[in-house]
Amino acid sequence: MSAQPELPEDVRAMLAADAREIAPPPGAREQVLDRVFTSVGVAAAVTATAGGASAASAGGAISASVKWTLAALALLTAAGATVVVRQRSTARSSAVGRPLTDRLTQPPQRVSAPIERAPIAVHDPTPAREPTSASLPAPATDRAASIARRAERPAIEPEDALEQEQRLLARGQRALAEGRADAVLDAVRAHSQQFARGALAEERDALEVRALLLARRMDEARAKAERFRRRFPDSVFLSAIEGSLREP
Amino acid sequence: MQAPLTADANLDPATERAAPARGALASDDERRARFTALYHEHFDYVWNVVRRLGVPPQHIADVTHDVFVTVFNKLDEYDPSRPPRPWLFAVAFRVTRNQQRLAQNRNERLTAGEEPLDSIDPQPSAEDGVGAAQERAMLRDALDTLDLERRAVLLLHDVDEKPASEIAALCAIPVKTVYSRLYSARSLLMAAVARVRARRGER
Repeated sequence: MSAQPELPEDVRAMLAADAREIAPPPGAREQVLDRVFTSVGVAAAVTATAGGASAASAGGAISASVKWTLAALALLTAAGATVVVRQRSTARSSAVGRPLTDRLTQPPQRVSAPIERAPIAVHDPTPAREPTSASLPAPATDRAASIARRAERPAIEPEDALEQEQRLLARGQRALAEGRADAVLDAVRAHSQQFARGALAEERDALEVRALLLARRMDEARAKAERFRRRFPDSVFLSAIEGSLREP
Repeated sequence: MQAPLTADANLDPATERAAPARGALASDDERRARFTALYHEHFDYVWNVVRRLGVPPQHIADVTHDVFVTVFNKLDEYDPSRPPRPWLFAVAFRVTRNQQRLAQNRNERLTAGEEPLDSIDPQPSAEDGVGAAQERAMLRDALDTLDLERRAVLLLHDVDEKPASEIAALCAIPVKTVYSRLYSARSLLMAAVARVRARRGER
């Protein structure tokens, strides 16, 4: 089995504890079943749930109210209104009572709420384009740039090479956990030499930033982080890196 | 090893409202009976899968409903001779992912920080205490920093001890992607736990 950064025992124990099945709220099972049968247009089985007859009639009533809700939403949407879909107040009274179909049928609407952080950009290899004009680069140039970016990651990598990459980075990860910045950077350097464009290049570069921070080489860490952000603008490691840079 | 699970591209229950296909199931009664039995046997399991995938408590019922609507509509594709839970997990994973994408498209923040008044967590036992509750909260905060794909791989591998080949089938990804996501999930989780502990003054 390939080497991977191991989770500490206490984290493993927490994960195992969290995996214990938790009982749903009382009544959730029957209520969800009623809603399912309503959604699929099937009468609830009389013998399947406790109080089956009432469940069946409740399913019919719910179906009618859902239809009126859909009709109302359709009218409001046509009128250009922005409908707040999430109904927290009703959800709080019952974990299972919120109508579902309003959320499913609501056409996508962008709520103009301010965003505290810059949104994670969808990774698009082609650069953003201004309105077309004769002075813009020809599409072939954009395609070439796109191909060059995609070439940074190989499409296919043998599994044994991936295992080797993981082993190198796991060595660096262990050294990081032990506070040995030089050993981390050795592992990063070895990975760069052997797998410059490897499948785990992103993980390697993130590890390097953390090693530089550990070594208190702050200017280098910031520069490396900036290059990382440009190269991997939608990386899942970005928030952790930025958080580490902000820490005293 | 089981054959790879069906990786249906469209599992949005909003579009799966057509009359059930009459494949292996002879009648609506048979479909309803088989579904109902499956539902009652595995409802708690599906509920907990949805919970562990990071769906906020106030949305678990909705997503669980979506999962079982899809199960109902796809019942013809399930082979009753095989264990149902891998199939159910795969459905739950895809439905949860689709719902997250819908929420993101609407710029809707499905924050997991608010608990409903009737929390699904049981009352702490005599053995549990404030410490255990704090640990669960801390772990939840740390896990919430992971995206769904990495969270699923981490839970399936490190907690449920599924082999990489089975995880690949459940999540419809190559085996090497399982390892890649596992690596990054562990790294991110450890970093998140460290940050949360630092914020709480633990060392």
